[in-house]
Parts: sequence; C-alpha cells; structure tokens
Amino acid sequence: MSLKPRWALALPWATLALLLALVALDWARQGGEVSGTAVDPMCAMEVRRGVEARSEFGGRTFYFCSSSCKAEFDKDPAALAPAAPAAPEEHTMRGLPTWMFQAGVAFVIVLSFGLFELAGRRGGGGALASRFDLTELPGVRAALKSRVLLETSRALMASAFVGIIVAGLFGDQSPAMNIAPLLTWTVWWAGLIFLILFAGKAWCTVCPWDALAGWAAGGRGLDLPWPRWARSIWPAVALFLALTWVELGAGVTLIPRATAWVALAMLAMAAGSAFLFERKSFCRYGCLVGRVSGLYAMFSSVEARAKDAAVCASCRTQDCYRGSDKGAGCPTFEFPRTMTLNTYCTLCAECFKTCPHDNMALRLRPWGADLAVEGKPRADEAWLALVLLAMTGFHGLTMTPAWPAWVSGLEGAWGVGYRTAFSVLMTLMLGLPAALYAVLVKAAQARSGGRPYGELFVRYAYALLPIALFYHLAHNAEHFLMEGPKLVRLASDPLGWGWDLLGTAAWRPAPLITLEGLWAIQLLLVIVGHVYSLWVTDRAARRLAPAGAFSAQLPMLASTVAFSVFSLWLLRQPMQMRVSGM
Amino acid sequence: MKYWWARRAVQLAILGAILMAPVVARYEHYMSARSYEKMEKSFEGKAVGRWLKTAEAGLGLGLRWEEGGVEGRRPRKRLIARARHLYGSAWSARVFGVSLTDLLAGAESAASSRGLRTALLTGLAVPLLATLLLGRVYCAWVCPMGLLSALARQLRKLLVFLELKPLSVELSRADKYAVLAMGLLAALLTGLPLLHHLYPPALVGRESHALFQAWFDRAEADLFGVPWQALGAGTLFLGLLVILEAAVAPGFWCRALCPGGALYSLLGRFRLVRVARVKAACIDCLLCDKVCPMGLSPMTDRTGMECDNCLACLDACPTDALKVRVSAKAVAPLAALILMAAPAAAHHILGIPHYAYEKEWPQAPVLKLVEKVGEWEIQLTGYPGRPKPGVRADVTVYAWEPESGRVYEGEMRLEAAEVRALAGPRTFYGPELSRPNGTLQKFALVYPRDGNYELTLHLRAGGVASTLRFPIVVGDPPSPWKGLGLGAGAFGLFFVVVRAVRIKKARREARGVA
Repeated sequence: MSLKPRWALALPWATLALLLALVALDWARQGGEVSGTAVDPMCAMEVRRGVEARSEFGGRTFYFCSSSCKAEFDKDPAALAPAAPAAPEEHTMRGLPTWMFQAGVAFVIVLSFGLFELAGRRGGGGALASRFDLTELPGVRAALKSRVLLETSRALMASAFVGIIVAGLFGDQSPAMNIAPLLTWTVWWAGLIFLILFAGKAWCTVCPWDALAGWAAGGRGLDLPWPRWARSIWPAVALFLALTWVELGAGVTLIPRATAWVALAMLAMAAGSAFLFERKSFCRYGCLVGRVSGLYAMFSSVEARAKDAAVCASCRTQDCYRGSDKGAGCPTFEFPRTMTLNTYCTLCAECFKTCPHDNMALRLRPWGADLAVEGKPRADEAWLALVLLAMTGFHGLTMTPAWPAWVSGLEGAWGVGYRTAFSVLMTLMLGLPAALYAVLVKAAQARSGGRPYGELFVRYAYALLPIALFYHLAHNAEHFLMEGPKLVRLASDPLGWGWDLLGTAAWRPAPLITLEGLWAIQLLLVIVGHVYSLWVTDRAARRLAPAGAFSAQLPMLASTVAFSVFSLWLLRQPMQMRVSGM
Repeated sequence: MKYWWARRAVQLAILGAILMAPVVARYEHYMSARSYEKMEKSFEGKAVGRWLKTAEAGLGLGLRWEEGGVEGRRPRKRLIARARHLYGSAWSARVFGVSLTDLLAGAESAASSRGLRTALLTGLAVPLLATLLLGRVYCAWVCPMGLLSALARQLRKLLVFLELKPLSVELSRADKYAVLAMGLLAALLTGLPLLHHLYPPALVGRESHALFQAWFDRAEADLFGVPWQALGAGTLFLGLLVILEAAVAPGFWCRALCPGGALYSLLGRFRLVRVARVKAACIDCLLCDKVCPMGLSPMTDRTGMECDNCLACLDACPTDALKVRVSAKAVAPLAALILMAAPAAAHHILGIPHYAYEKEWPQAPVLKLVEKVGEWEIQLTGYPGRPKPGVRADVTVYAWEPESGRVYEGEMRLEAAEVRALAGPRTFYGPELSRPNGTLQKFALVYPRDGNYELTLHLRAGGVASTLRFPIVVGDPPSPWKGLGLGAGAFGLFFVVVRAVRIKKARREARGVA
C-alpha cells in the first residue's frame, strides 16, 4: 500500500475532528458552564447564561440564542422586556441567517459547476483504493473472534432496550419526564446515522431486536426460506414509510407509551421472522433500520472484506457461507469471497470466526467507497435512496411553521381530517422529489447515447445518498446537540417517578452548543454531503457516458444542486420545538 | 354416544343455570324495585343490558305480555314469581321451590357449627337420597368440574398434537378421603369452613356471583367494562386444575383429591343403581376401561364406590355387555325422593339486598391533588373523582400560602388534554379562565371518552408564571398490561405452533429416511 493516497483515509477523521473542535470551541467561548439556563425573550429558547449575546435593560439581563434575536430585541427593549415569557411551552428555533444561507447556496453552485468540475477531470483512482487493515493491529482480530465480547455487548444493548420499553409503558406519560422518547428518537436515531459514517453498521452488530429474537429462536425455528417474491428490500421500504408516518403523522415521538409499542412491534416482527425463516432473513429483507443503514453504510469509512482473493479461490470448505462449529454461516446470505459492498453486511463478525485461513479483514477506507464503484445497482435500493432523500427533507419540513398551515389549509379546503390531510401531503412530498429526479434523468438519458432509462434512473439514484445522509445529520445535529444533554437529567429519573439515581435529577443541562455554533456545523455538513454527491455523480457519469461525461452529467448536477439548496432552505426555516417534549 | 349427549346436555344446562342465577337475581331485584325500565334504558346496547334481556327471554317463555288487563305490558308479577324459582348457586340453591344444599356444604356447615339445623336437613334431603340411590352421580351429571375435566382432556389432546408431551402422574384414590377428613376435622376444631375454598362447584358459583355483582354494580355507576378484577383466587384455582389435569395428571382432581367426591363416594357405597356387566356378552376388548374418566375398570367389574354412573362405558361397549341395573329395593326410596321434594327455606343463599336503587349509590368519590409552588400550595379537587365521559365534571382549585394564610386571587387558566396512545395529546378544553367562587376557582368540563387525561393549570403565584400538570383518569382506560398479556399470549401460541411444526417435520423426515 503506497503512502500517498492515505489522505483519502484521513478525510473522514479530519471531518470528525473538525466537528468536535467546533463544538468544543463553541463550548469554551460560552464559558463552559454546565448548568444555569435563561430564556431568550424573543424566541423563547432555553440558552446558557454564558452566552455572548445579551442585553441589559431596566436592571435585568436578557440572554439571546443568537445575535439575530439580540438585534431584534435591541430595537425596542422597552416594549419587549415586560412580555418576556418565564417558562415557555413551545419555542421557535431560528434557522440559518440569510447571509449564511446565501453563502451556502453560492458555494454549492460554484462547487458544482466550477471548481469540482475542473478538479474532477484529473480523475483520482489511487485514493479510492487505499485501505488500512485494522486487523493487523494487535488484539483486533482476537476481539472480533471473541464470542464473549460480542454477546456481552449485545446483552448490554438488550437490557437498555428492555429498560426503554419498561419506561415507555409504565413511566410518566409526559415526554419530558420519560427517558424513552428522548433516548429513542433523539439520541438513538441521530446517533445511529452518525455511527454509520465512522463505524458502518455497528448498530446491527449489537442490535437488541436481533439479539432478543435470536436468543429466543436460536435453533428452535422452522428455518424456512424467505419467500421468493419478497426477496427484495421493498418490505423494508414500506416499513420505513410506515414508521415515518406514525412518527410524524401520529406523533409517536412525543408519546412514551406509543414509542414503546412501536419498539415492541419491531421486536415482534424480528422474533416472528427469526422463528419462521432461516438465518437472519429479517435483517436482510425486512428490517427498515438495517436497510436504511445498509444504504448509508455504502458511504461508511469501514468495511469487512476478504483479504486475499487467492486464498478464497483455493478454499474448499467455504465455512464463511456455510458455517462451521466455530460460527454461523453469513446470517444475511453474503458470500465474503465475492462481497464488494457494505449494504447487507451487518459486521456481525461471524466470518472472522469461521474463516479457517484468517482471511477476513476489517478495513478503514475513504468515504463513499461503495458508491463510487460500479456496484450492483438494484431498483429497490435506488427507490429507497429516493425515499430517504424525500423523507429526511420531509422530516425537517414538518417542523417548519409552514407545515401546520399547509395541513390545516388542506383540511379546510377538502373538508378532511388531520390524518388524511397529513397523509396526502406526505405522499406529495414523497412524489415531488422523485418526479423531479425522474425528469432530470430523462434529460440525462438524451445525452448518454442510448443507455436504457431504467438503468440510468437506478444508477444515478445512489449519487443522491450523500445528500440525504448529510442533511439527515445536519437535521439531527440540532436535536442531538440541543436536546441530547437532557439525557443527563432523565438518566437519574428514567420513568419520571421522582427518582434520583445518579444525583442529576435536578439538573437543567444547557444545550451543548449555541445556535450560531450549530449553524456552522449544519452548513459544513450540507456542503460535505454535496461534495461527495458531486463526486459520485461524476464517477457514475464517466462510466455511463464515457464520451460526453460532462454534458451527460449536467442534468444530474442540476438535481444535486436542487436537493442541496432545498436542504439549505430547510435549515434556514425556523423550527418549532416543544420544550416540554424533547 | 347417547349417554354422552345426555350427560353433556344436563351438565351444560346446570352450568348455564349456575352462571345465570346471579343475573336472574339481579333481574328480580330490579323488577321488585320497579326500576327495571330505567335500568333497561341506561344499559341499552351494553353487555349488562343483554344479560338482563337474556334472563327476561328465558323467564318470559310462554308468558303472555299482559298485566292488569293491559295488553303489551310486561307481566311483572309473573316474571318475578318465575325469577324466584332460581336462587343461589351450586353450593346451595332453591330451584322451583326445592331447597338443594350440597352434601359437602351440609357436612362442613354441621361440623363448623357443631350442630344440625332443620333447615339444613330439608336442603340436604334430595341430594342425600339421590346419592344413596345413585352413588356419585352428582360428579358425573351435575358438577361443573365434569365439563372442566372434559375440557382438560381435549387440551391434553391438543398438547400432544402440539408436541408438548403431557405428564401422566397418578395419585392415590385414597388421598381424597384424607382431604375430606382433615377438612371436616379442621372445621370441627376451629369452626372455620375451609373445604369450600377448594371445591369446584362452590367456586364456580361464587365466582359467577362475584363477577356479575361487580359487573352490574359498576354498570349502575356507568362503568361498562367487564370487571375481570372481580374474579379472584377461585378462578385461578379452577384454571390451575384444568392446566394440571391437561399437562400433569389426567383426571386427578375428581379421582384422587376432591373432598366432595370423597363424601359422595362414601355415601354411595351401597347404591341401588349401578353399572353391571353381562359376562357372557363381554369380549374383553378393554374399550370401556380406556374411556372411564375415573380410571376404573368396568370390564372386570371393579368399579366399586368410585363409579359416578357417567355411563361412558355403556357408550363405548361394542357388544352392549354393560347395563344399568336397578335393584328392586330401590323403588320405594325413589318414590320417597320424589315426595320429599317439598318447598323449604334454604339456610343460606347468595344474593343481594334490593334497596337503594333509586339512590345515588355507590357515592362518587372525590379526587384531591396537591402541588407546591414555592410558598404556594395549590389544591385541585375533582368531582366526581373518577369522572364519566360525556357527563359534566367539576374541577375546583384552591391556592393559598399555608404560612400566611393568604389566598390566591389572581387569574387562573385551565387546559385539559386527552393523552392518546398513538397520537399527541389532544386539547379539548381551554385554556379557559376560571369562574371565581369565593376563595375557590371553578371549572366545569366534559370529558369526551374513557381514557387518561392531563389537566394543565396556568397561574402566576408569587410573581412567577407556573404551569402545573395533574393526571386524571376518566372511566375505564385500557392498561398496557392488557396489550402486553395479549401480545405475550399470542407469541407463546406462535412459539408452540412453530415448535410442533418443527418436531412433526423432523419426524416425517426421519420416517422418510428409514
């Protein structure tokens, strides 16, 4: 392995360091106080008392989320000060300020049609191929082969899962008092996406649904083959849409008991499948978490692969697929000898245990490695990518002030109930991006010299994944950094029964970051996602239309720009957050 | 199969009577209190209303709908008279004016009170004579445990089908005499009747009374759910018997442990009607031994005093070698049995007093919730404490400083939201300004349906805006245990089916290979 392309390996970790530095700097700049909050009189957001943005008026100090709120207050403090709310029920979080939004859009467009296009022409095959084999480090292979370590971590996750169920079902049903909603929808869901970037599908390795189902069904199931007609990820796509619907349409995120029931429903599906079907069929075909993270994991900076193709070629036993007394055959029906993509690999490490030649490797790699190569594009995966793009945007959209207005507008116009209006708008939001994409692919087809439409549609869809992934992160960074610290308080009193297990029940932890710091992180994430999307589009175009790659690429560039600008626009919108909620 | 059909028909009719007796009693009470029409209206469309209608349909069979010469009016007096023909339970009852007391009840009552009352004797007369003549016939034809045992036998077949191999533990038949002796001795020494706690017919009757009593009582307070919580240890014990008979020891209760069975066996020792075998016709096929629910051997005439004359062996015999033989000596006592069936007052009968149907009873309790904000104490009082949906409920707030005795006189707003399972809380009331009433602040609201609610109170006490939340339960909200229980049950069933399929598949494959 040459040393030169190592920069591509370092890029993910440099980004991580940059993100952490941004949070730490912001923290230090605000005095680093853990507790002590005040309420912004303008937007009713809870802020740290250490913030720089503050004003004195009439002997009182007012603290602001950002200079925008301060500027607004300073215009007429005499009128605004007496109306300052004391304990808000709901607050509005300001979105990106106009200058940041405009700068972001300009940057995105310049990148797309200018700099990147020039740089991209040189090609860059070497960097993409660089790898660093973690199993060469001492202890790593032994850890991967250890069953005790794996089962212990699975048991820990499973007990945490049971804890959430108990809290959700029997704890106080106010979402601010119960740990279940916060831990599930803010910490876990945001943390999961973040984890994928750096550790791939490590969640699947310790997944409590699979662990509990597997322990219950171990060796007691029917081992039927998963029905042939359902051997695609359409079931998972449908489940993902259903989850988004109950999450936003039915407000499950704010109801502890409903959160627990959703988690139990997933457990029932996982356990039912474990009893009926062979290996971990559910993980491969049915699990929405597994499939969503599977697509995202194509971007991940970690992979498990066979080390030496020659060793595999001479292997007669193929224990990695068939299983042996050392471990199970690949639970998701992958054959490590030919596995080139992360999509269906759950990093369960069974193949590390079964391979008699120790020919499996856990490697660091550049981001987006699976997206930039030919791969094995499938229509169902492409559609899940589009659904992900649409639904992550939709998620943000429902929190803007415009959304309730649209829903009630439709309710009034059609004379339908909330659920119907919500469902109609959700369908619309699902259809619009897909329709836009379909039209742009048509334009690309005209310039790609006779490639079939379906093939282009499927192949280019993967290029949109980085945008979806990074917008997802930008959106969830808000939840995670602003609301995540409440976990400190809830950990002491998870059921809202007045306990104080860790002595932190009375804390009122401030957000981890100020609004201005958050904006910088969000902008950074959207631009990183856009750059990777451009890169993947570029590589796909070069493969699909080697002759006129640039002109074939133009419609796709337009689509990445459109989606990135939409992401920025969403981040610019004020977000309505329930204080009592999460 | 003719005896099987006859036995099941009799058993089901008697079980139906035991279960319906509390409903009939309640019907009779409403009729006597002249409040049936009112109840009928308020129970419209509810299960309790259907129960009462069922009772009325049964009681009104063949009656002309006419009273006091008015065509179409409910024949109240005649319905009441008929309703009084079914009182009590299997432990002690009055049916068509005849007092019937279980022999075990009589024995235990006599032992614990150390005396024999005449009233008790009249109730015992019919069962006693029947037992002397026919033996343990009560066990096979009357006792509800006969049906439960049959159910357990079917469950046992299901278990075998599901590959859950049931055990076959056998207990000694003599054990039940020890249970009876110890129970009666305990009653004699301590005066405490204990045996009725483990006597299936008594338990069925008592649980049915408890269930219906709670059901109707709650319905009178506009709570219409099935009050499963009214069922207690008796149901648990019966369920346990069924499970044990199915999974561990077939028929063990009636054969080996039932104190009632022991008493009936003893009394029926010299019965005049019994199953007998025509030796010449018997082909020694063993079919009768196989079907005997008591585990006896009719084929070798070894039935003795344990036989309950269920006649299953007669059904099973392919050559009709088994017969019911009545000895001539039985005729006179049989005639006496019929003659003795005279009206008499039973010594104790389960029932309910019929008073107060027009009164508000039970009184609705009041709910009081207290919160502290700094020096302030805020009391929220709800009337009724467990409000009913669709009916006005009052909420009164009293806020004061206990230190200074100062009462809060500022503004106060109340908001009420329904806490829903798969949706956000839905506010249906307020924020509404209170109506001050002296030192109290009053609100009136109507909850839309059964469920969990949250009241949110906004006030500015001591210059600080405070938001207080109070949980309220309206009617009968569903509990998560129900869902968990159903889910776990469904999953358990799923697991057992998967297991059975696996075992059967493996067996088929093994057979295919061999």
